[in-house]
Parts: sequence; C-alpha cells; structure tokens
Amino acid sequence: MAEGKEATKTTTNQNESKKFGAEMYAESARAVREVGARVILSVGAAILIWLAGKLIFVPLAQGVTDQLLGYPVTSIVGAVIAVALAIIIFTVFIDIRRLTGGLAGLMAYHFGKASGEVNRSEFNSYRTALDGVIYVIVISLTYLLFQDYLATIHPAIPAILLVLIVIWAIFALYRSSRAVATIIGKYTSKAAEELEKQAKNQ
Amino acid sequence: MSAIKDAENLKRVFHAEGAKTAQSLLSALLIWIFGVLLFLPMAAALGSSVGLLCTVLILAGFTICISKAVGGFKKLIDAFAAIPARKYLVKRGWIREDGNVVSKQVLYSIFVVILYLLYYPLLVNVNPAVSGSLLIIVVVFVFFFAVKAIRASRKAITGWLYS
Repeated sequence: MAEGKEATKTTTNQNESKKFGAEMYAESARAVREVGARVILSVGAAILIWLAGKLIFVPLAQGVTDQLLGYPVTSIVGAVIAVALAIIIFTVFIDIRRLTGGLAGLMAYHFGKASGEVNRSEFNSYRTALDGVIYVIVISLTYLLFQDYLATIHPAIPAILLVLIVIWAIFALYRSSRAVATIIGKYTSKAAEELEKQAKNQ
Repeated sequence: MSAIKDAENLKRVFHAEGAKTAQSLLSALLIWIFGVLLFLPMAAALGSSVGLLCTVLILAGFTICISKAVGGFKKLIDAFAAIPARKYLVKRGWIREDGNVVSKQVLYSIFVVILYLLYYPLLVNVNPAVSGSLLIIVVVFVFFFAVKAIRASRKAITGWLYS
C-alpha cells in the first residue's frame, strides 16, 4: 500500500516536472521568437553603421585637417557615430535582455533535460548562471562596436570602459557560478555516494 | 575494512568540501576563460598599460577564487588518493600507507603543474620573468613531492631491484 502511494507520488512529481519543463521551454522559445527578429534587425543596423563609419566617414574625416568648434572633425564624427550606435543599442536593450534570458532559458531546459530532471529551482539556477555568462559575452561584443569610435573621442575612454567591464564581468561570472552551487552540491553528493558504493563492492 | 574506511572518509570530505570547492573552481575557470580568451586580446588592442591593468584585475579575481578552492581541493586529493593507491599500488603488494603517500604526491604534482599552466598566460602578460620565477618554484615543489614519493616507495623499489 505504502509502496503504491510512493510510486503514485513519484509519477505525479515526474509529470509536474515535465509540465513545468515544457512550460518554461515554451515561454523561453516565445521570448526568443518575439524579440529575436527585432534584435537581429537592430544589431544588423548597428553593424552597418559601424562599417560605414569605419570604412567611409572616419577615413573621410581624417582627410579634413580643419577643426570644428575647436575639436578635430574625426573626434566629432566618431562621437556622432558612437551616439547613433548607443541610441540603436539602448532602444533594443530590453529586448536584448529578454532575448538573452530566453536563450538562457532554452539552454537551461536542455541542461536540465540532459541531467534527467527539470524542476523549478534547478531551472532557475541554470538560467541565472547562463544568463550571466551570455550577458558578459553580449556586453563584450557591444563594447567592440563602440571601441574604435570612443577612441577617436579620447584614447582613454575605451580603456576606462574596458577596465570597468572587466571588473563587472568578474563579479557577474562569480555570481553565475554561485547560482549553480546547489546543483554542484547535489552532484558531488551523488558522486560521493557512488564512489562509496563502488569502494564497498570491491 | 580499510577500503570502507577510505570510502567513508572520501564521502565525508566530498559532502563537506565538494560543492564549495567545485563552485570556487568553476568561478576561477570562468574568469580565466573570459579573461584569457576575451578581455586580454581586447585590452592588448588598446596598448600595453591597459593590457597590464586588465591582466592584474583578472589575475586578482582568478587568484581569489583559486585560493578559496585550494584548501578544499587539498582535502579532496588527500581523501581521493586512497582510490588510485589501492587500485594500482596496494593490489601489487605495496603497503597501504606508502601507496597513499605516493598517490597523494603524484596528484599534488599534477595539480601544481595544471595550476601553473593556468597562471602562465596571465603572468606572461605581466612580465615573462614572473612566469619564469613561478616555474622555478613549481619545479622545486614538484621535486619535493617526488622526493617524498620516492622515500615512500623505497621498499618497493629495492624489492623490485633485488627480485
């Protein structure tokens, strides 16, 4: 009787886990579908502006030796392009955040599925961890878009920005690994029990 | 009986230190991967002083995480060493304690060498002489580990020589 109850409980948990996994997967996939196209278009536009600036406008400005309002034309062109890039990137920033969240959700679901379980706390832990990692990559790539133009304004600006990004990334990556601490704990306990079992069998 | 005791000890250490150590190692590894593969090339494009500053920051983050992991990792190595010792040495007639010592020293040496290899790309950016100095320290450490291992295995070595 008790065994039957236990089996029913396990099946119910598995069903709930499967349902939760499917819901989270659908939610993440929806987020990726909804904002994916918009983000790709905006990032495409940003890359086009970056290319046009790098290959046309900055070389043209470098040919102009006169100053405008006391500033070199190259610096002004660089600043204008940096502002244009900033506007494009920041208008889709929330979408980028949602997209990275969605991607992290999809990856978290696949990680959870690979380990055989998808429950709420594990899914959230994986999601937080992957979110941090993807976010660091996104910020670094965004920085690469701005780097050259910020350098035309003043060479110290990209350097300071990079140092700030490195400091932030160290904390973000540490937070990411902390998010999976409980999962790591679960696996190390399982591994320890497995090792003990093997040693006792020998 | 000793095998069961070793297994219980390993389980206890794994429970106590496993998660904390693994988390610190994961943090260190993430910082190293992003630092060496992403941030250092980016910083190198901006000049040597920015590269140096970024290297020092990444080095600090990596070292803090590694220093958190080292204590737990040593305990894990101490507990884990009994398994390869029993599998490869005690079964071939070695005394258990000697086997454990040799196994521990080999694992320490591997750990120290891997740690040096992880530090190498960061230290080279600071100054090649720093990584060279660290290599000398690593060689000295490995030498001491080897001496300990040889001292523990002298019975087996002489037995093998005169057999």
